[in-house]
Amino acid sequence: MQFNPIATFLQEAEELLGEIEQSALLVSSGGSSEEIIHELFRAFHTIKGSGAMCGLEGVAGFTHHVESLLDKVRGGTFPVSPALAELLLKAKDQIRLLLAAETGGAAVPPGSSEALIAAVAAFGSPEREDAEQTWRIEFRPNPSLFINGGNPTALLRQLRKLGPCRVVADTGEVPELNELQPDRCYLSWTIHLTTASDRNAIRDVFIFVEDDSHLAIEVAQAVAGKTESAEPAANSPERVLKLVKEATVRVPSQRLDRLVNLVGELVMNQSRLAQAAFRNNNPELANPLQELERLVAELRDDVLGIRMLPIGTLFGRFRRLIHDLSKGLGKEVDLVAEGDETELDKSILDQLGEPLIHCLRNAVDHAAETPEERLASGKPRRATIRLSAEHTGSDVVVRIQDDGRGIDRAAVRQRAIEKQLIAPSTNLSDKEIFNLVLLPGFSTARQVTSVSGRGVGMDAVKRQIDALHGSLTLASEAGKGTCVSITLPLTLAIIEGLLVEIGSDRFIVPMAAVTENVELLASQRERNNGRNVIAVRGELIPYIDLRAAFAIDLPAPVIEKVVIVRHEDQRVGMVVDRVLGTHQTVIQSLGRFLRTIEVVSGATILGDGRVALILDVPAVVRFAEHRTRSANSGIPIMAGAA
Amino acid sequence: MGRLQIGHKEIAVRVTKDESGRVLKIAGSLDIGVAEELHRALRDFVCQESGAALDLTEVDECDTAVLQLFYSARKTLEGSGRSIQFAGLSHAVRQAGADLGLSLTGSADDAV
Repeated sequence: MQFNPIATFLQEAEELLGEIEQSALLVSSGGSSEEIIHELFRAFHTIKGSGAMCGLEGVAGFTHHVESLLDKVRGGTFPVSPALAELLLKAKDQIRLLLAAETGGAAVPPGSSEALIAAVAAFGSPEREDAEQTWRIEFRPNPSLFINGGNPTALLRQLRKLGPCRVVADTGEVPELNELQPDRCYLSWTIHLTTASDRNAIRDVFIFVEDDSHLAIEVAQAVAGKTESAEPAANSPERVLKLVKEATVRVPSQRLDRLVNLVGELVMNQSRLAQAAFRNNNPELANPLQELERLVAELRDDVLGIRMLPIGTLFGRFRRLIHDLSKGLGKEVDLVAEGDETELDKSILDQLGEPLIHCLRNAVDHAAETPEERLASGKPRRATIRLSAEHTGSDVVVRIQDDGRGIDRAAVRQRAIEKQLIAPSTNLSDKEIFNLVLLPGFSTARQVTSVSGRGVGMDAVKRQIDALHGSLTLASEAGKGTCVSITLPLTLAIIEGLLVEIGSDRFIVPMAAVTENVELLASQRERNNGRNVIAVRGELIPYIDLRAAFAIDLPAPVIEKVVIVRHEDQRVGMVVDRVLGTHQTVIQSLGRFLRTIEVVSGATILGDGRVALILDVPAVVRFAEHRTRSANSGIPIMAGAA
Repeated sequence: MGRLQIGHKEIAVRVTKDESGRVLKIAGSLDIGVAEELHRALRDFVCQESGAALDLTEVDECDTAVLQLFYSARKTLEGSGRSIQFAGLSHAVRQAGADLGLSLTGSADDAV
């Protein structure tokens, strides 16, 4: 792979722009620590420097202005403010446009860079620059200061040259003579300095003693609300920012994909080898094969682990979305993200962004009320959207919960009748009404807004989640809010599957969906309201006859098996001939000609070299429902499973 | 007045009596280089006397380490219910105290 400096820079710039956005949003929400400003400065500085090195002068030139402004903010010349955050967000967007333009994309709108540069210049106008400020400086030197030749008297005299100082020594640590070591410094100082010099000029005074000493320089006015804690609080923006910084090695994701594929091949071949050894009854191979199985399993888990990314990498993008949307709609909405550290396979994360964006748009546009409406109904002025992720067994559940107006059941019902999705006399439970929202083309929004209601409904979200082998459910309470729950598998590369057989064909049912298997005798088959159902411990469970659904002609055995799976909080059975056992399933995508088969999500190669299709449970249910509807005038196989 | 020779430096230390007890007079150029000897002299002085006075009128130079030492002497005496008097402070000592924001003559608790 040949090194391409521009491609590397673009990748780095993309990450830095993401960091800039996060930091600017923290500033916008009231964060103002030195650390955030340093992060911002470093990010703009790196983009400028690397951009110039790659010959992207437009990017470097524009970024220089923002960097200069941030340097002044860093130096304390200008305060950190929401206005600054807005300016930085605009600058970040402009840099992205400039990067696209300089690498062959569309040109930036004429004058847009100049206008922003003017805004940056106005923010840092000279009259503001000359203003004097009072600084509070805390200097707690390293105890070895005297031994190392440090001279606080000289330092403080130099500091006085910058402006009038009030120096107070803290003698609290000075011990009595018996405990005192005369060459150790026990004193520390608090200094109030009034000067037009910036923070860097003040820091320069301490440049030779700063290492291993505690030095804090803050604008005195900002000191009032300062906490004494040296470490930021666990959930503070500063802390969050710190957690993001980890030592990493940048590896192209294609290499990881290739590694996963190779491990997949290894798993399959190990399985074939085990079967061959079993067939030949070769005991000499038993131990090495067991060891190989263990090593391959470890390798598989480690490789899949490398592809796991914290969902926070996705959540982070949404802060800006909510910030912009709520501003545009005149609403006040806070996004609270929880479970940022929950990990998901990168391939799932890549495809999860769009569905979540759609849900969040809905939450801001349709669910959240205006501040006035909220106050009138006794709610806090600001709406809250809670975006959370958590592990539940082998799944991850992502929830988007708002505290808005909730789904209007009557409006949904009326709309469904208008669209002839239900008869006017149909009685539906709350859950069934909510599921109507997930039907294609359904929308209660009478007006198309720039935010949502653009013809892409929740059905698109549901389709995407189904494609990820996940499921989506809605819950809502009038006046209290709505919760969209999305359940996803941890990975799409290798799954635990249940190997089943129908005739001479073998299929894999994802184990994550399987709840139990039961036997089915011909005498147990029942029909209830036109649906196939089986009684399991008193519960009537609808089932799909896969033999009939897949038009397999071979005769069925006397005793069949029903694999009962969970789909959208309901149980449904799938009738097969035999259950052969669990199987580590390496998912292979289907070729071009087979990709249109909706009911399967992929294929896997079994130990004996045969191919087994992996069933897509939601798609199988949809398929069966469609067949049943056609045959029984629209009576669904599973109520609410649309 | 006795003389302490420390490396190239020499400081003068003299103990005299007055009405309040004894006065320790220290003269010369005082910095970290003499801090250890001065520490010893001060420790010996304060442990013998019920009350004490320091005469610093002839101190030509005084750095932070030495000022810290004087402060510690005062804290030691005050810690055991005794008192210290600064019989005189040279300009150099006053200047060092002002530069460092450290008062030798105010109350120990106030000096912070």
